[in-house]
Amino acid sequence: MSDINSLFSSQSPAVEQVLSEIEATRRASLFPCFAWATVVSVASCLFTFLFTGIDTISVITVVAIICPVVFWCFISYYRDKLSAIYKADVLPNLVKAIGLDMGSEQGFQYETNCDVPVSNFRDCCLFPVHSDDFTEGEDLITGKIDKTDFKFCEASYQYDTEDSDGDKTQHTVFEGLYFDADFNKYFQGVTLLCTVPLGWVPKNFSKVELENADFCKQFTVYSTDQVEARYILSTALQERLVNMVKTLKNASGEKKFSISFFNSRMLLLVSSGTNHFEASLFKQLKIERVRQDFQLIYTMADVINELNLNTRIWTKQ
Amino acid sequence: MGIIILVVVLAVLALMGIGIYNSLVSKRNNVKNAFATIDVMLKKRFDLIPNLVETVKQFTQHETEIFDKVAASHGAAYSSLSNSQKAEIDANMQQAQRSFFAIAEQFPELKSSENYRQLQGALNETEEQLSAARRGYNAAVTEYNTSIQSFPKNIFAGAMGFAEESLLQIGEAEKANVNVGDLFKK
Repeated sequence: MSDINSLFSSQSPAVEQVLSEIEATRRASLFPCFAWATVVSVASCLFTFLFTGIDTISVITVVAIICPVVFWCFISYYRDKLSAIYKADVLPNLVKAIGLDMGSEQGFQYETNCDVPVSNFRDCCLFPVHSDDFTEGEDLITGKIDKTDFKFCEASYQYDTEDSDGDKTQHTVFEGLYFDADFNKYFQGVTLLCTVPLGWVPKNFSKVELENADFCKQFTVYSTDQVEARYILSTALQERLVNMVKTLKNASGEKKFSISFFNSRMLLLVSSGTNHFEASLFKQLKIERVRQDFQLIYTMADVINELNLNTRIWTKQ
Repeated sequence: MGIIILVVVLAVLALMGIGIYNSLVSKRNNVKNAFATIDVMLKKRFDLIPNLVETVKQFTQHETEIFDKVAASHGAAYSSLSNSQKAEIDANMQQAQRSFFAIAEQFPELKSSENYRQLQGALNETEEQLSAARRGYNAAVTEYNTSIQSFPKNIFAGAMGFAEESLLQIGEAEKANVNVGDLFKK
């Protein structure tokens, strides 16, 4: 495996070429974006005045509602076009290079769209389950390092509620980074690790006190089985998890990490309000920003090495 | 008035006593349960003996004294064994496991066989589960001991006959055993 900086440097000439193309498109998009948004806003306002009449209140209301919505739609449209170039011409190559460097035969694969199984959020026991729940996901990276397959993406877990008038409200339970990997041991129950305590203890779970003081400072552990929790969280893994969280904090800038061990797999969730891997219409996409995305992908995939998940000395091969 | 206060104080003390007694019983049962889990894991390892002995004897007839010993111990049903016999089998098994890995180093055909890989996985897995069970037992004992030593439970614990439990110590041989597993990282 190469050093992360030298690996990125080997990719940067090709990346910079695409970045200059994105910048040219961004500059060329600014005028049409605002021109079209203004034309459509004015036309929409005039059209609305035909029905409401022109008085001070309706003018203020119409302008305050219609103009921001129209501008937001146009800005999103042009920003998505820039992001699409970034996602088509930059990310797949970076992801593949990281995969090849980490010993994956075909490199890792990148897809813009992603289906996150809602069952994973239900079964992981980190959240209360709601009836009208659903997931959304994007920027999917999949791959396999030696014997360990993984799936990494941006995901959200939400649910809808309906009031007596039939009006729906959407609630977000989780939003952030989603990392699902095969674990190197078989186990039956569920064990949870949280850097921020859950505030409630799920049914059939109890708190687990482990030996490593640094680990206990970092994580609150809940499990359906005290012995199994200790089987999963060997003293070596506890140390590795402490180091992993330090590294991930540096790479992502986030502080809230939750891990669920279930179905003999490991699900790592990093709560984040940032929409990663996107271009901006108002800010040039610079190589430093791409380096941050690269470092984040690298660090997430490197969790497999950091936690030694390819050590298969137990019955699970 | 004085009698009412006395009755209230006695009632509070009685309720406190019941609460503490129940909490200590629950913790003592956790210790017993954790100890029983160790026994379950030892039994799981005990069940691996025939496979272990068979695999070794396919490749060598030398250095098999320890395997003969564990094979002989497997003749009896695990449930009929006394604690001291179980402890003896445990010590022999640890020695046999170390010998098994050492023999595998001398016989490449053994090391590359599917049977060896499966057995190695099963032995490592059982060893780690056993270690987890021991750690679980120590955690339960620590919680129980802390409970009976802290005020005011210590007053009730002494009177109710709750005695301190001892922690399991990990022997030097066992520590070495864990390192042997690391040698077989893939």
